[in-house]
Amino acid sequence: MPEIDIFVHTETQDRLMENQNLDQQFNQNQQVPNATAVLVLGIISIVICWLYGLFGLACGIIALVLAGKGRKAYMENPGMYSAASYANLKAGRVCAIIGTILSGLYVLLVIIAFATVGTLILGSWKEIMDSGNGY
Amino acid sequence: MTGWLETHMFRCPSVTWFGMECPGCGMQRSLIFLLKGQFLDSFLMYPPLLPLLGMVIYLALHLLFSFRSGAKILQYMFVGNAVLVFLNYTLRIFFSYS
Repeated sequence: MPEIDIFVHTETQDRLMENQNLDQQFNQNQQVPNATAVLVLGIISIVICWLYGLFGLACGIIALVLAGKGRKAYMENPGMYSAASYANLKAGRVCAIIGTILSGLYVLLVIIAFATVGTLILGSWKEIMDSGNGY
Repeated sequence: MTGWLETHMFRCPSVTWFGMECPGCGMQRSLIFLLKGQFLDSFLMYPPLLPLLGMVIYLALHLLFSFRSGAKILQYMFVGNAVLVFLNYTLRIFFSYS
C-alpha cells in the first residue's frame, strides 16, 4: 500500500511540474506590449511626411511613448516575453527616433521659413507704408 | 481607378498655402504613374516611392509571418529610406531655388 501511495504522489507531482512548464512556455510566447504598434508607427512616421511633417512627428512621438511603456514592462519581467516581439519593439523604437528627428527638423525648417517669409512680408509692408503709397 | 485618382488628387497644403514643396510632394503623381505601369516616369517623379512601398509591404509580410531577422532588416530598410527621402527633398529644394 505505501508503495502505491508514493507512486500516486509522484505522479501528481509530475503533472504539477508539467503544468508549470507549460505555463512558463505559454508565458514566454507572450508578446511585449505595444511591440507591433511601435514597429508600425515608427515605420509609418517616414512614409507620412506630408502636411509640414506634423503627421510624422505625431506618429514618432506616440511610438516613442508606447515603446517606453513596452520597454518598462519588458525590463520588469524579461523572461516572460518572446524575443521576436522585443526585437520588433527595439527596431520600431530606432525607426521612431529617426522619424521623429527628421520630422522635427522639417517642422523647424517650416517654422523658420514661415518666420522669414512673414518678416519679409511685414518688411515690405512697412516700406510701402513708409513710402507713403500704401493705404 | 487611376482616372478616379487623377481627378481626386489631394492638393499639398504646403504648396497651396506656402509655395514650398514638402518631402512627400510628387508621391501621389508617382503612385499614379506606377499604377499605370509607367515605371520610369514614376521613378523620375519621386525616386523613393518604390523603396517606401517595398518597406511597407515587407512590414506587412513580417507582421503576418514574423521572419527570423525581419525586425533588423526593416530597421536597415528604414534608415535607407530615410536617407533617400532626405536626399530627394534637399536636392529638389536646392534645384528648384537655384
